[in-house]
Amino acid sequence: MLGLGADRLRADMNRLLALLFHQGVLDEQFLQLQQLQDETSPNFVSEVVSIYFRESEKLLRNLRALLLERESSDYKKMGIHLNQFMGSSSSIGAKRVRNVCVAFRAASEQNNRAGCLRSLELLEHEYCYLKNKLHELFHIEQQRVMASGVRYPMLD
Amino acid sequence: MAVRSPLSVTFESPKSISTMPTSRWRRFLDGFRSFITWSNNPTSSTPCRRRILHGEDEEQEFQLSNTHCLSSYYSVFVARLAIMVMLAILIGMLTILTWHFTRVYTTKSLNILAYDLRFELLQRPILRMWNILNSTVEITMAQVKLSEFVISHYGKPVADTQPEQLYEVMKNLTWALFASRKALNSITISYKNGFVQAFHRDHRSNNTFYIYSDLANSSVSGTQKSWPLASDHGWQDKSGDGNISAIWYREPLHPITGEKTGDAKQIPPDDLINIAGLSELHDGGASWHVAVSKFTDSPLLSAALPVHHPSDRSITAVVGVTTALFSVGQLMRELVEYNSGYMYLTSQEGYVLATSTDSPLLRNSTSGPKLMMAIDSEDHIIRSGAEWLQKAYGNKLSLNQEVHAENVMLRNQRYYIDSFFLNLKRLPLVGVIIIPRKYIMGKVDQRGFTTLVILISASVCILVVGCFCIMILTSGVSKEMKLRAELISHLDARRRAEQSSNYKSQFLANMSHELRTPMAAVIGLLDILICDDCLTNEQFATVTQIRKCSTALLRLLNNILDLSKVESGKLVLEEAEFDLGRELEGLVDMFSVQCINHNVETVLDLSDDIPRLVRGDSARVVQIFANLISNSIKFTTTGHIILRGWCESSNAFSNTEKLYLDQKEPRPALKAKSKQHGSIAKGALKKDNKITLWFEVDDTGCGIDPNKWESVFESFEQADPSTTRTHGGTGLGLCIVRTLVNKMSGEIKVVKKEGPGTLMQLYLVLNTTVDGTGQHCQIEFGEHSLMVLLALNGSTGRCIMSKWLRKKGVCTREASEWNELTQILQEVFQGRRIVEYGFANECSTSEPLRANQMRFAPKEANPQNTRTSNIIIVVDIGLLDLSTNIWREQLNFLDKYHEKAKFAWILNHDTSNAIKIELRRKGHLLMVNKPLYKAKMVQILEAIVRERSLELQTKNNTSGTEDLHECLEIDHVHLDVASSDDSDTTDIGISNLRRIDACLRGEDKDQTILISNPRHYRIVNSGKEITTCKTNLNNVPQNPNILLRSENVENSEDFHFESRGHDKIIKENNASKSPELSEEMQPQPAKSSPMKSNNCPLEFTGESLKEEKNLKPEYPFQIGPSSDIEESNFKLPNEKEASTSCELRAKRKTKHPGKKRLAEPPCGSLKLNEYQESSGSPSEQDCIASRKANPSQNSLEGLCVLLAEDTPVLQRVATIMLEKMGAIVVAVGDGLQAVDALKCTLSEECRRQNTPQQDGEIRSQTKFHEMPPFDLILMDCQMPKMDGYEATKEIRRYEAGTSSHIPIVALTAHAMSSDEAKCLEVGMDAYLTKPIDCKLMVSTILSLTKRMA
Repeated sequence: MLGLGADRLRADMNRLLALLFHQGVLDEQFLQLQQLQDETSPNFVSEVVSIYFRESEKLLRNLRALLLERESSDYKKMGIHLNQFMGSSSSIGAKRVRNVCVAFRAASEQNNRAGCLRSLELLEHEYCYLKNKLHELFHIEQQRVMASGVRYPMLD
Repeated sequence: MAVRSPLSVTFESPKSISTMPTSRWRRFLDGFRSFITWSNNPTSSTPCRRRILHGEDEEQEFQLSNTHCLSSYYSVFVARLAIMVMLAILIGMLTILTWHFTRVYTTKSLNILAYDLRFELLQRPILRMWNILNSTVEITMAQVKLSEFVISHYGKPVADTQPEQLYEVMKNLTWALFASRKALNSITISYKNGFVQAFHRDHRSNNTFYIYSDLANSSVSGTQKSWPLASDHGWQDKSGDGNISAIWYREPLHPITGEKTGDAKQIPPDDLINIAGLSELHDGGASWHVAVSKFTDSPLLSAALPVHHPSDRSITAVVGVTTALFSVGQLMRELVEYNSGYMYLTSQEGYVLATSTDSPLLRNSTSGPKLMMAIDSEDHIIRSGAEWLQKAYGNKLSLNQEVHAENVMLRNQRYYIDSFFLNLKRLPLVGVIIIPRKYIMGKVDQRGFTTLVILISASVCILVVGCFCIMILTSGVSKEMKLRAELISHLDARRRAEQSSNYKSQFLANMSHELRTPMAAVIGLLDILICDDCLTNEQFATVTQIRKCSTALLRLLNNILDLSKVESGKLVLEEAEFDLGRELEGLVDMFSVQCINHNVETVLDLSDDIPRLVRGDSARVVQIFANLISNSIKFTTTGHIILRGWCESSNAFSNTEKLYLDQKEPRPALKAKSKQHGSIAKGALKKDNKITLWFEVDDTGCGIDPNKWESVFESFEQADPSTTRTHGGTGLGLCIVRTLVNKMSGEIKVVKKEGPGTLMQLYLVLNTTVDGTGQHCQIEFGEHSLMVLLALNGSTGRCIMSKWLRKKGVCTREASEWNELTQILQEVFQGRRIVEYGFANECSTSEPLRANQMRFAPKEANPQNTRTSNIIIVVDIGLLDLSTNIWREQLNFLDKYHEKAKFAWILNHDTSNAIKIELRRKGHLLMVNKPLYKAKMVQILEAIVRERSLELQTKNNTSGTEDLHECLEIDHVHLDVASSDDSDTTDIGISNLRRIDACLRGEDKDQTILISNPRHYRIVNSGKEITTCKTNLNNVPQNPNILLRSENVENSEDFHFESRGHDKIIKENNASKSPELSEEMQPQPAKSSPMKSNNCPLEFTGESLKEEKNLKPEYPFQIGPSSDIEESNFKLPNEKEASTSCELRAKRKTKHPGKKRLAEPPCGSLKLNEYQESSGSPSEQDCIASRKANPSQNSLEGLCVLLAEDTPVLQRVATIMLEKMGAIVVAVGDGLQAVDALKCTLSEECRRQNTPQQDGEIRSQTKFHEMPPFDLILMDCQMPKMDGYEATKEIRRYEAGTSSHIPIVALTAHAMSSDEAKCLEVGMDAYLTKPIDCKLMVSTILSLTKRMA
C-alpha cells in the first residue's frame, strides 16, 4: 500500500511538474536541478529553492522599498537587484519570473516608474504563484520520500 | 469571372467602339442609360448583386473594381465629350472668323469702289446732258444775238419793203449756225408777223430740210401786230391757229452745203415740226423743255428765246432750238455696254428722258407721241427698278435726295440701285443706275461661297479627324486607366499575398523559440517518465514511442524553422574556424553505421588540397552534407555513396583528376563548368582569402528524373511522391540544403551521371584562415618504403584509397575477398612461410595471459624482422566468414604473417565483441571502424611507422609496459579522429553534433539508446569491472535499456568483455591485471591512477558529444606513458599533483559509505554503484579514482574551482553541479573574497607542492590557505563589494609578476555580445550565461584547464 502511495505521489508530482512546464512557469533548468539531486545531496532541490525563496523575498522587499520610498527611485540599484533576481530565477528554472524580471529591468533602465510598478506587481504575483506551486511540489515530494523511504530498506 | 452584374455587362459588351462609330453611340447611350439607372436606384441593383455574389470576397472585390471602372469610364466619357465640343467650337469660330474677315472686308472695299463706279457712271450721262443743254442754250443765244443784229440792220423800221432780204439773210445766217452744230435737230425762227423759218434735220432719214411758212399767212397773222408780251396764249393760239391755217413748205437741202436739192413742197401740218412760238417764253428769258416729235424716237430738248427789237425791246421773233437727247442715251448705252447694268434719266415728274436700253422712250398716243413714265418702260428691269423706287420712296423724290440701295431683288437678281438728282434750272433731272450685283460682287460672292464651302468642309474634316483622334486618345487613356486600375489591384493583391506569406515566415521564425520550448518540455517530461520505474512494459513502450515521435516532430519543426528562418532572412551564418575534414569524417562515420544496414558503402574522398581549417558555419555545412547524405542513403539500397570534395584552383585540378580516374565520364563536363567558376573564384581567392570548395554527393540509388532536377530543391517537393510512403520525409531537406548553400554563396544542382543514381554537385565559398591552408597530412610515407595490402569489401572505397596511396608513394595491392587475400599473401610472403608456422600453431589458445605473452614473444624474438617488414595489411572484418566459426581459422591463418606484417582491421560498428576480443587477444591492436578514409589511413600508417621506430628504441623494456603501450597504440588511432571534436572544436561541436544525432535518432535504434542514455550504459559497463555478475542481473529489470543490457549480459560471461566504449578496455586491463599480474602491475597503480584521472575529463566530453566519439577518448592516457613523445614530459609534474588529490578524495569517499547507503539513490543504477563501491577491494579503490557514484560525471575530477557568486541560489546550484563532476569547489560571496582566496593559495603554492594537502574535505571559505591551488575561477560579473570585472583585473594584476595564469570564466545573466566582449577585455578566458548549462560549463572548463595543463 505504501509503495502504491509512493507511485501515486510520484505520478502526482510528475503531473504537477508537467503542468508547471506547460504553463511556462518552469523550464528545463529545473529538470537539470533535479538531476543534480542524488544521494549525496538528497534535498538539494528543496534546499536551493528555499534559498531562492529567502533571497527573493529579500529582493522583492528591497525592490518595493526602492520603488515606493522616495520619488526619485534608485534605478541603478534596482537594476542590480533585478539582475540578481534574474540570475537566481533562471538558475532554478523559474522562467516566468525571469521573463517578468527582464521586463522589469527594461522598465527600470528606461526610468519608467509606472512600468516598474506594474512589473513589480506582476513579479510578486508570479513569485507567489511559483512559491505556492513549488511548495506543493515539495510537499508531495516529501510525502513521496517518506512513502518510498519505507520501501527501500525492504529492497535492500 | 462568371458572375457579373448586368450593369457591368453593358459596359463590357461594346468592345469595338473605336472601329464602329455606331457602336460608339450605342455604347454611349447604353452607358448613359445604365448610368442613370445606376445612379437613380442604386439600392435596386445592389441587392441583386449581393445576392449573386453571396459571400464571395474576391468577386466582391472585382465588383468594386468594376464600379470603379464605371465611374472612371464616365469621367473619361465626359472628358471626351467636353474635348470634342471645345474642338468643334474652336474650329467653327475659326471658320467663321476666317470667312467673315475675308468676305466682309472685300465686300466693303468693293462696295466703296462700286459706289464710286456707279456715281461716275451716272455722272457722265448727266454731264452729257448738261453739255447738250448748254450747247443748245449757246446756239439759241447765238441765234438770238444774230437775229437781233440782222433785224436791227434791216428792219429798223420794219418795212414791208425789205422783208425778203431780211429773211434771206436770216436764212443764211441760221443755216450757218445749224450746219455748225450737227447735233441740233432744228432751229426755228418765228417772226412776229407769223413768218417762220426753220431748219430741220431728220436723223432717221438723214435729210435736212428747210421749212418755211407762206408769206401770205404771215400777213394774216400780221393782223395782230402788237402781241403783248405776257399773253403767251394768244400768241400760241394764234400761231397754232395760224399754223393750221398757214401753208408750210419744205425744201430738202444738201446736209453739208445747204444747197437746195429739191423743190419745196407743201407739207401737211401734221408733219410739221415743233415750232417754238411766243407761248413758250415764260419770262422773257431762255426757256427749255423736253419735247417730242414724230420724227425722232427720242425726246427732244427744246429751248426758246425771244429776239428783242434793239430799239423798243419788243419781241420781234422767237428762236427755238431743239436738240435730240438720244446722244445721251447713246452714251448710256456705251457705258452700260462696257459696265453692264441699266441707266435711265427721268425728269422730275418721272418721264424717261434717256435709257441705256433700246426700248422706246415715247408712247404713241392718239395725240402723237408722248413721253413715257419710267414705270411704264418696256424694259423690265427699268420698270421694276422704277417700281421699286416708287414703292420705297414714294412718288415724290425730294430734291437732292439720293438713293443708294444695295441688294435690291429685281426679277430674282440682286441689283444695286442708285439715283442721283441733277438740279437743272427748270429741268431737274433724276438719274437712276441699276447695276447687277453679280457684276461687282459676282466674283466675290462666288469666291466667298467656295471659300465658305472649303472652309466648312475643311473644318468638318478637321472636326471629324479631331474627334477621331480624341476617341483614340481617350480610349487609349481609358484603356490605360483600366489597365492601371487592374494593375494596381493586382499589385495590391500581390502585396497582400506577399505580406501574408511574409507574416507566415516571420511568424515561424519568431515562433521558433516558442515552438521549440514546449517540445523540449515535452521531451524532457517524457524523459522523466521514462526514468520513472513504475511504468509497465506497455506503458514504457508507448512512452518510448511518444518520445521517438516527439523527437521526429522536433526535427521536422527544426527543419521548418530553419527554412522559415532563411526565408525571413533571420538566419545568420556564424563565422568560426573549423576543421572541415574532421567534420565530414565524423559525418561519414555516423552515416556509415546506417549504410551498413543498407549494404551500402560510404566513401569519403576529399582531395588533399582542401585546407584543413576553414572559416564558416560548421553546423550549417555539416547540416548540408547530413541532409544530402541521409537523402542518398534513403534512396540507395545497394552500391555506394561517395562524398567527394576538392578545392577549386588550377593546380588542384591535376590532383582531382588523378583521383577520379575511375570516374572519367562525368569529369569533362564538370571540369568545363568548374573552370568557368574557377576563373571567377580565383580572382576572389587572391583578394580576401576566399576559397571555393566543390563537393559531390554521388550515390547509386534510384536517381532523379531529369525534369525534376530543378524542382527537388523546392519546399515539400519530392522527386517521386510514392517515395514518401516507402521512405517518409517531408521534402524539406533539399530545400534547406539549397538555401544554406546559396547563403554560403554557393550553388547546388543535380548533374548528369553515368549509370544509376544521383550526382549532386555543389560548391561553397568559405573563408580560409589567415595562417594559410594547412594541408591534411604532410607526412611522406614514400620514404618508409611501405606496402599496403588493401583487403576491403567495398570496391569503390578501395580503389580510391589505393590510388591515393600510390600517389603518396605507397605501394598497394588490392584484394576484395578472402581467397584473393590469401593468394596475395602467399605471393608476398613466399620466402618466409616455414618460419611462421611454428607460431601459428601456438596461437590457438584463448587464454588471455598466454595470448599476451605470445603477443610479445615474437616481437622480442624477431625484432629485426619487424623492422624490415614494411607490409601493412588492412583487412576488412567483412572478409572473414563471420556466419560460421570459420573466422577463427581465418584469423589463425593470418596470424602466420603477424610478425612480418602489420595488420589493421576495419571493423563494422556491429562487429561482435567476441571477434574484437579475439582480435585483440591475437595482438591485432590496430582496429578502426568503417569507413576507412584518408585520415584514418594516415593514422594507421603513422602508428605503424611510429611503432616501428619505437620498437627499435624500446627493445629492453619490460613486457608489462610494452603491453600497456601496445594497448594504447590502437586507441591512438581513434583518438586523433575524435580529438577534433574533443579539444579543438568543443564549443562548436556540441551544438553541431547534437543536431546530427537528433537527425539520426529516429532511424537507428541502437544508436538512439546509446545517445539518449549514455549514462546508463556507462553505469552498466562500470559495473562489469567487478566480476560479480549478480549486480548486473539485479540491474536488468530496472534498467530500461533492455537491448543494451542483454548484450552486456551476454558479454559478461566472458571475462574479457569488450564494450563499445574502448576506454573500458583499459579499465578492464587494469582491473584484470590487478589480480593476475599483480607483480607486474605493482609499479603501475600510482602511475595509472593519475592517468585515469586525466582520462576522465575527456571521457566525459566524448560522451557528451556522441557515441562515436565515446569510442576513442584516450588521449592523455596514451600520451602519459609514451615517454618518447615529448608532450608527455611536461605533463608529469601535474600528474603527480593530480594523483595526490585523487588519492585524497578517494579516502574521503571511504568515509561516506554509511551515509550513502541511507540516502536514497535516484535510480537503480546508482545503487549498483554504491554496492560496487562498498564491496570493492582496496586495489580497486586505487584504480577508480574518486567517488564512483557516476563515473561518467567525473570529468572534472581533480579540479579545484573557485566560485565567486553572490546569489546564494546560484552558488548552491553551481557548487552542486561542479561537485557532481568531481571538482572541489570553494565558494565565495564576492569579488574581494575571491581575490583574497586566490592570493592566499598562490602565496602558499610552493609550500604545498612539497607537502600536499591531506585534508580534502575543507570547504569553508575562511580557510583558503589550506586549499589546493585553484585550477579555475568561475566569476559572477555582478557582485557586491567588488564585481567580477574588478576582481578579474585585480587577479591579473596580481599575476602579472608571475608566470601563472589562472583561467577565469565569467558568469553573467545578460547574454549580450557586449558583455562577452567586456568580459574578455578585462582578462577573462571564457564566458557562460545563466542559467548554467551543465555540459557547456564542463566543456568550457575542460578546454581551459587542459590548455593550462
